[in-house]
Amino acid sequence: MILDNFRQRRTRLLFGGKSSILKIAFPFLLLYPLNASAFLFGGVSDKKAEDMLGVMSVNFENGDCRAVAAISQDLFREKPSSAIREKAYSYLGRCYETQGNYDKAIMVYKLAHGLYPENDLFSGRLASIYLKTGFYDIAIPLFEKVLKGRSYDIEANAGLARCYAFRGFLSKAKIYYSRAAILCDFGDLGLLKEYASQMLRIRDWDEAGLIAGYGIKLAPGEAYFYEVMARIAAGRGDYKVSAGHMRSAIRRDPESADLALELALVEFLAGDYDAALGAIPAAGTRHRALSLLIRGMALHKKGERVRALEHFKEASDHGDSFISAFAASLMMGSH
Amino acid sequence: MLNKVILFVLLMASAVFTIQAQEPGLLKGDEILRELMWDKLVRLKPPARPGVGLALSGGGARGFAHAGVLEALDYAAFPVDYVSGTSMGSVVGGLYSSGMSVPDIWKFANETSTLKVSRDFRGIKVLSLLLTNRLLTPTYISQFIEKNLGSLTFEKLKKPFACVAMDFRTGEKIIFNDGPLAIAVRASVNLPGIFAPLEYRHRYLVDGGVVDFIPVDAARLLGADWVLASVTGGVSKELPENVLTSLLQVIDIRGSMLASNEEKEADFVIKPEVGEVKMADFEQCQKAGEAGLLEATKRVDSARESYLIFSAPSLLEAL
Repeated sequence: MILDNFRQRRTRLLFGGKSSILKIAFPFLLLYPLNASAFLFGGVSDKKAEDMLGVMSVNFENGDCRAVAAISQDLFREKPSSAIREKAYSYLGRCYETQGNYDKAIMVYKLAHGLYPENDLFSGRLASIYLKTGFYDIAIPLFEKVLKGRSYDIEANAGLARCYAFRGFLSKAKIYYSRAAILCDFGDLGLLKEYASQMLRIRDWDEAGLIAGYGIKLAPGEAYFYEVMARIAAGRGDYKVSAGHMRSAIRRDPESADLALELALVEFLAGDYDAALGAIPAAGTRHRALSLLIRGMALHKKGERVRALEHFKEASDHGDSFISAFAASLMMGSH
Repeated sequence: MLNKVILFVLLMASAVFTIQAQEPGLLKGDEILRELMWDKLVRLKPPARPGVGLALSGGGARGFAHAGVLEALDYAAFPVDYVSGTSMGSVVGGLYSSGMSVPDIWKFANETSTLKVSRDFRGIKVLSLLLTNRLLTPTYISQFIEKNLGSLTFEKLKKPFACVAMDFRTGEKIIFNDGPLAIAVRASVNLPGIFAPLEYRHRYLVDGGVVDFIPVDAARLLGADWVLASVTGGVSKELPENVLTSLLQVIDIRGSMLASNEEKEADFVIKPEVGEVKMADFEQCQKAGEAGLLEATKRVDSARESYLIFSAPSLLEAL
């Protein structure tokens, strides 16, 4: 009973006294070891614990998380040394994480973070889960803590960039995207795509162009960065150049109706209405409203107002999207 | 057990949302039209496109949420052709219209503790108000406005701007859009019942938030065809502790009631949830600004779509 009370008191300290969290954390209280020095038998079974940790490591490497979780219970009963426990928490937490058991992973990492605050792994993993689950304001200080000790940590830099981006702090996000991209020597395609798309969001055409250049070098066969280049040129008002980049993108992904429609719209904005009409892909249900709208706008500019109106009407009847509302507005304006 | 299940469901639901949101995808469907037409639209100048008005509500310290809204609009290259403001909205709007950059406006939020603006509120002693039977002059607020806007007139501003006050004797709404700027802004933030009415142009002026919390019509008066309103949402749920906080809460509630009608006049409303920030708590300006940025970031694409739909006929003709 005394032992239970002691455990509960320490747990309250760790979890900030929130009863709901305590309830969730309850199974982990059973795993939670007290300082070995508090026990008469503390530390005597470290050899056994070390062996168990070895088995745990092998199971972790083999992706057998059920075995990792089972061994961890036995291991913690051995009241192992602090160093062994620390490693065991990391295996257990990462196992839960890879299984998508984020609530359990959070509990393990929070516990470990409380016990080993100097270990950046736990704060880093906690931050990553909070990022994945949308709790950006909780993730930010944890990533910052990791970066205080290891400013070169790519995942923490990228994670912090994402948190700031989701919260709208896009100037701050740019700093950390940039650091992460430099640290991985512009070799992470996914990161470069994300970085470029965020720069397009804030219309930082120069930075987006720089990243797109690295992206094209890294993956010349991908349409994505040519589309980015097209967006940059369109953002600068140079629709002829934009159309050229769009054609490059389409050569790399000829099946994409989105790319074809984007080219059609760029051609329309460039004032080449015939090219716009020619670029519209064959009618498909998925993009019908946008196809109709672009066709209608091109016909309108060619002076075929009645046919244009028919297209606007059909596009406006097509669902309740932004495209159909835009078409309805054109229809009202054409009357 | 129920808590655990709820937490799990929340985590999984947010994980799905996050993964979708994080996917750095190419432009698809609606986005193609929105992004490309937007870049074309914002390069046009009125009257080739409809004029955009930005109406900034009152709200005391909460009004710094407007700084966050301005930042999100800035990122999206949202054109702002006309600005109107009430109370704190008139301060932020005045600074913005003067050409001050959004990061510089944010600096005020970061530095409010050293700006001493809060002292005008902290220094209010109810007993002395009763004993002396005299209303106060907000020394630090006046100094702040004078320092930053004192040399300007409405005519010298980079963007057309209007701010709203109320004539204390007649209850009339007074819209200022000409002459010296500082005194008009000072009148617009002049809290009734605590600060003495400001005498200007044969009127006794107090905070415009009492009659016009969101100055949408002032923006239209300037020439705006389409108005985006930034409105500080939420009323403090805490019970007032003294006469001052009671008075502030009454003004706050009155503002919310006005807002619920006035926001219908706007073409688009961004309403940062800043109910936790008290009206006179200028130490919390940064928090209010962050709430503004977060909400505006969520809503800015919808705002762009709304303005594009409104502008579609003129955009097509301008191409």
